[in-house]
Amino acid sequence: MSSISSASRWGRHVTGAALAILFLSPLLWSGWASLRTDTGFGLENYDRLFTSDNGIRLQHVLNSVAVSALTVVGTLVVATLGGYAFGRFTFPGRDLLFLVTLAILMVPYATILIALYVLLGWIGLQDSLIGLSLVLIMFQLPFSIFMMRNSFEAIPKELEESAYVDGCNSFSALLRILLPAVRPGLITVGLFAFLTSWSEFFAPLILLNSTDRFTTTLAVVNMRTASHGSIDYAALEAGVVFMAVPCLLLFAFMQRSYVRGFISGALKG
Amino acid sequence: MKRNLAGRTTSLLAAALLVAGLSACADDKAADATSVAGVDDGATLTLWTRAATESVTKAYAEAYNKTHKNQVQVTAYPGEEYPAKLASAAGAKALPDLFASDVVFSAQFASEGLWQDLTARFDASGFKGKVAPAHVAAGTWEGKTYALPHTIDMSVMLYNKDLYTRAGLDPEKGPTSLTEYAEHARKIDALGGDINGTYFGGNCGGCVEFTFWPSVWAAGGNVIDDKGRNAKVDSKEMADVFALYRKLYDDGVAAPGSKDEAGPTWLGALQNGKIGIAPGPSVWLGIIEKAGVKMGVAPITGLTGGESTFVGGDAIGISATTAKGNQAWDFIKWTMSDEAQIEIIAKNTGVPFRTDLAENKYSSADPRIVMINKLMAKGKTPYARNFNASFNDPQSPWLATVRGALFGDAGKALTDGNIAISKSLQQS
Repeated sequence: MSSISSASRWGRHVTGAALAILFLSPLLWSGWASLRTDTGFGLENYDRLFTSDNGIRLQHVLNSVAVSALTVVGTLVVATLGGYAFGRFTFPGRDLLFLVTLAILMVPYATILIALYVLLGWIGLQDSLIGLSLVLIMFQLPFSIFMMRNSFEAIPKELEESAYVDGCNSFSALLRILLPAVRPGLITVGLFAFLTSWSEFFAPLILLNSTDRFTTTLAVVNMRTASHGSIDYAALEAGVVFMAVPCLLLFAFMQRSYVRGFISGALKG
Repeated sequence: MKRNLAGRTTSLLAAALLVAGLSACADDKAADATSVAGVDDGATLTLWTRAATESVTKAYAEAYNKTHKNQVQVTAYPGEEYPAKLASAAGAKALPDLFASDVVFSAQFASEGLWQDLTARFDASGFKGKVAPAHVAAGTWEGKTYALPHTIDMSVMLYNKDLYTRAGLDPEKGPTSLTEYAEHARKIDALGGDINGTYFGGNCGGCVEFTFWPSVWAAGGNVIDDKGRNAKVDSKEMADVFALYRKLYDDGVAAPGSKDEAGPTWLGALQNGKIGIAPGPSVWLGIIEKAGVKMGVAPITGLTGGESTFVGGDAIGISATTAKGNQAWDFIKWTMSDEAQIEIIAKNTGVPFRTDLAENKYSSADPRIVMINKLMAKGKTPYARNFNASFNDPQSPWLATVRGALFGDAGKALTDGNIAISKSLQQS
């Protein structure tokens, strides 16, 4: 009996270790490659990443932080209100509206970017970080509204009704009672928005036009310097590691809520 | 990932062309106020280029900004995605005042009306006939000049002097024919160990154009006709060149990595000092020597002699939608001056695009540089409107032809490839 359970424990460890190696190896390899130099190991590649002609500047990092922050906040606001409405109220056209939100997923990303670029021009937001964030928020909406709708639906009706009895209206009930209840969902949506906006490459490429507004991802990809696509791999790996660190830290701190957010709503009776 | 990006780029281009089609007759609005002399009145000019040549463009801009009221701001984009960026900006009518691009795109951009007609300004500039003829030809569409040279990157034979000495060859004498090149490569390969005779980008359409075509041109052949409408890939000249490189690979003289080299590790392979002689970009001479490898330079030759080069690099033009054409022209005109070409380009061991400046106070110190500079006038830049899709794109019929000619059924690949490339060239 005990031998079976210890065997199954071993099995679990081995499988877990194998999966960890599988998923971690590219990252570990990047870390290793980023430290390797012609003469051994050192920080030369990182030095080149930050000091070469077209390397990363502080400005690029600040831009990335600004875009990510705007995207996360914007996504949370819209997804909370949207998810609340879809999950808690019945109104004419609700299902159609939800379908339209999901339809964002059905349009090929690259083709719609140009139209969005023209549109941003009309409202004076071409080559601006705010414009870029608006576009990123829009592409976050299908997933985040879907997530938040499920989160709100999973909350028992009684919780809300008791709030009404205590004199809340629908908005203050949301703020005081429901928001704490959907916290795992909010963290999942926020983290997802951060990870996507932090590493997004194509939208900044098309929507930004001046070097001092570039995000870090663009700057890192620009490290490919020599002709015929020749890549400075070592510096590129250093850039990859530099970009991955904030994501890993955030994920490590929030993974408990992140996982809980995904299963909330899935267990709804 | 790469395929994904290529797919995205293609759909982006298609969408951009759709949008651009709606606004194709928007140019000529500034035509009545055109000044052939250029205007320096303190305008801010935006200039886009690709990251590979960014440093040169920035050096131009810095020097120009110091001595002029106009201020040029340079933005560089990753080379692979740059065409998509230009296409989307053109579609949104948000092109910068000036943009440089890989010279092989010139005919395409000119035909799509993205650049202003520079004919009158160029005629009056005093530089006509003095700047890289291959680039000027590439920037001409239906008899009008739309783009002028900006930076030069040419293909030459780069050889490792130490390995030449070790193999008993004269390190001061590069090969004078392609056959001799193969002999040299074989002798060096015979040194054994991890030393290889030669190297090439066998999975990179752009690399093969850049390094093989000069041998075809030197032998008097051509790869596409002058109008860029028909391929001549199945010519004897082209087949001979492919056969020579193929044999080098089959015999193990070319490093095994040559078969899958798609570009990214090409420079690294030459930098590590284990390759005897290989055709490559002239701009790498300095980069390779910085890694501590002593290099010799020779022209790329035909099978039995003659010499030529692929004149690559970037061309620059004034975008069709800008209202600051006169100021933009002031910058372009200045880049053609002795000051810019000698003090910025030649001083940093670049190739001046002025043919009359091949010998200058900086190049005279290094006979290799004079040789490279002089080679420019003999070189060619291929001219075709649909060049990128036909030759440079990873999905191009040219790359399929190259793969077949080097590693598959050569005869069939060249015959079929010629039909496929011609078809692609005629697509508009």
